[in-house]
Amino acid sequence: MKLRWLASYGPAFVLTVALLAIWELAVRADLSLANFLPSPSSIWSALSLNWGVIYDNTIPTLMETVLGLFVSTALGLLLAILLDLSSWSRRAIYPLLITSQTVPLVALAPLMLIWFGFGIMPKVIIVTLYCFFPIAVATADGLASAEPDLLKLLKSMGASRWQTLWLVRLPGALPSFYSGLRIAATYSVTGAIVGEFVGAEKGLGIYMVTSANSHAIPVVFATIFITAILSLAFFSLVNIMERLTLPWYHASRLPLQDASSMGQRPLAR
Amino acid sequence: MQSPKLLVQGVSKSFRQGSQWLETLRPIDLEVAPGEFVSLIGPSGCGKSTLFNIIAGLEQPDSGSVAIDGDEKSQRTGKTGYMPQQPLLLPWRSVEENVMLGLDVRRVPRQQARVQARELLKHFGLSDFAQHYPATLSGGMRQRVALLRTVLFNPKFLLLDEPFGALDALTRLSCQMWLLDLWQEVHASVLFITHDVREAILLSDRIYLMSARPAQILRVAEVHLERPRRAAQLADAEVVQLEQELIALLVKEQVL
Amino acid sequence: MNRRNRLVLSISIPVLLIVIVGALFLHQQMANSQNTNANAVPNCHGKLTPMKFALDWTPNTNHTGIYVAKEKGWYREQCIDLTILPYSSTVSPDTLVSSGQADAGISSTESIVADAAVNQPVVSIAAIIQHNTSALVALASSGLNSPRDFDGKIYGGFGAPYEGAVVSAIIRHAGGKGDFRNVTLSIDTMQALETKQIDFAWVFEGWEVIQAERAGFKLKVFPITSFGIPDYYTPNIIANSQEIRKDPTLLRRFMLATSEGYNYAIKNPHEAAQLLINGTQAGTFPDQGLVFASQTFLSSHYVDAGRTWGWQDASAWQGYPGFMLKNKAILNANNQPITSMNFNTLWTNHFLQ
Repeated sequence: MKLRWLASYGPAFVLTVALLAIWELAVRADLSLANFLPSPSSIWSALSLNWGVIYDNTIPTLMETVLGLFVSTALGLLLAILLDLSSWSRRAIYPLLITSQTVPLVALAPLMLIWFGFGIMPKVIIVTLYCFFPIAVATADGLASAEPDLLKLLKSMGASRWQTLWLVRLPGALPSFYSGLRIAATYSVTGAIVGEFVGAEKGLGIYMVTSANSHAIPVVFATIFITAILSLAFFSLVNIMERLTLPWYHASRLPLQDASSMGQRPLAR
Repeated sequence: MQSPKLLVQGVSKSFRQGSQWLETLRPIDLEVAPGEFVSLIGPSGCGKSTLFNIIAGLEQPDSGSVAIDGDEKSQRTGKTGYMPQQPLLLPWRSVEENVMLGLDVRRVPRQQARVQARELLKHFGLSDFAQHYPATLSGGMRQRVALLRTVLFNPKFLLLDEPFGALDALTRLSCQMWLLDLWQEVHASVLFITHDVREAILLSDRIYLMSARPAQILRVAEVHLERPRRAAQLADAEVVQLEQELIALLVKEQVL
Repeated sequence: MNRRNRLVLSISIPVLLIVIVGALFLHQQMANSQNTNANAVPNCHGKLTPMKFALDWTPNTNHTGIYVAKEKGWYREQCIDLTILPYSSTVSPDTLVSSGQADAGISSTESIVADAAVNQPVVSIAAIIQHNTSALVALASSGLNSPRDFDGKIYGGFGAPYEGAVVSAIIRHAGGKGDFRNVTLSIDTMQALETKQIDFAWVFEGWEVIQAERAGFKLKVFPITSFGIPDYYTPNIIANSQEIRKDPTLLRRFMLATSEGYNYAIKNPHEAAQLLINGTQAGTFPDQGLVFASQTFLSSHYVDAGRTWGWQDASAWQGYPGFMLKNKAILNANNQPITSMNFNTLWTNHFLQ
């Protein structure tokens, strides 16, 4: 068991350490690099020196991210069900969904600020804007890919449309949902930071801007490092949740059976 | 005389294909008496499954009537124990929960449904697998679980669409024996589709033979073998003769 | 572990997450909230007027007077409860002030002129620095010894419509052709300069130049007023013309306290720098020495001897804006250059004593 864990995470660990070492040596060899690509050691010392402030700024960003993800999940699921309702609703809603993703922040920002001010709300809105889309689209695809024979079976039992949705189609769409959630989780922290660029008192995004304006480049990188850690954490949490709720999905990926003999068409990962 | 469990009269069906109409079923007459085991044989693609869909209420006939327990007016969905070719077990439900599925649709309280499912599994020797998930089951096991699901939903009238078609010969035989045991106990009326003549003879009281598309009934044969059935009975002279007759007809239809 | 347990466990993960993060967040909010005790200021009859002030950049020594006045409680003495709004990189103080989201803010002459052309007018009510202290800079090691040498080189700007005209005029005044490559940056200008991604930039002498010196980069500094650009004010304090009509006494009280703040900074640069540091969030100035160095420079530039701080001259509002107009650098909402504008409506000294 320990050995298998080592085997799966070992290579990534070794690669990371190697890259960090190369980076450190490169900056030490050519000191002019240090002004725009600080060495890992200077980033680490910036992190520890400013830990209190960084922690202080991490909390608001975390709150924005978590709230945004909650709203995104609810909104994404709702939209997926709406999209699934009929081909008419699909054709009506999809273009609006796509358009929502193409509005650049520059156009949105003044509206956000003027309507919602500098509080937590505009950031949550921006996180939601970025994160609901993958969840909605992935879940809608999952709903659409239900095995037609299974739907016929349910119909022969006299199941209503909602029963079929609840008993069969939604649980069957869970792997797709988690696919979408994984993507959303990866972008969520960045979304919060972009939301803070609109205007904020505290947060990793604004701290990054302030540090950049003050030319404190190692601090900027330290903040980026924290952002990366947070994104990884959210990503891992989604994976853990998936493993807990879909053990059958992972069991099915053992070589023993072929997925077509199960209730759902095999879903590409 | 009791009214038949299933009475199909003059049912026909055509499907639209592009700009043409494809006649699938010429008027079909068929009946299943209560407690009778009836098989339906025919060449591939002749419309057996379409007939099943009509009986189960998934489609409506263009003409004719289908009466279950003498009732031809009300909705047929929910009135049959329909089992399509694939077992279609839900991967996120355990064996026990899969068997309960029909009762869940009927909104039977969960606890009650669970008890019934457990009983059934125990009765037919599958209780060791009750908490297993479909991913860990073999093909034959899955078919058995699907059959139990069907029986739990409607023990009185089963529509079985080639349930053993995808299994290897040995598994198929053991499943057939198991089905016979089940039927002996439950005494359901069964309409069974297959294209294996021997299987039909082994299991049924009567056999309907369908032609190629557009389908009609070519022959109705009675099987007079003693129950409970045994595989050895298939060697009887009478059986062999019937088998050869049916196969000859079938082959003719298949070529056409 | 059966299905029910697994489901419960997986739902508990996000629930726990939101509970923990929420608790930390609320704890932080409560620790930060300050109660404004209006009763502590006797003259105000228990009522402080709230005012929102928008910054043009992350806090720096251009803003010192305001932070000094706030830290010293001079706004409260004027019965004003001042909130300095956080900086937004996507929404300018001009937008916030003209839309009424902020009562006053900081801008520059160029922006104020540009705002009037696109129908978002604001009014300059004080000049923070008496004379223009901005300059074009290049690395000393670049070998560019005069703006004349900027021909064909890369300029790193901030995407304003007047930059091209101004930079071109400077180059021509120095004897060049006035052709250069204009690149809009969203990153640190000085960083781009140091890494030689750009050849020259337009910065404040009081901040970026000192910052570069402290970082060990030698710069060639070309003050723009030495190269034919008319002297003008930047930065300015702006207010909304409706606000001005609605409550002129509020702005007068505000400017009283603000003037006090800047006058204090002029006489006590070191203390003023400290007050700026105290008044901002921890971590705003990673290099506190920069604040002190910059303040020492700027305190002597806020106002010329013998004048009132913040007082604006008409000449400053004719020369440079006229220059912009002539060079077609003032664009309307359709991005077309305008041909005439009355600059006198853009400024007033009314709120200074």
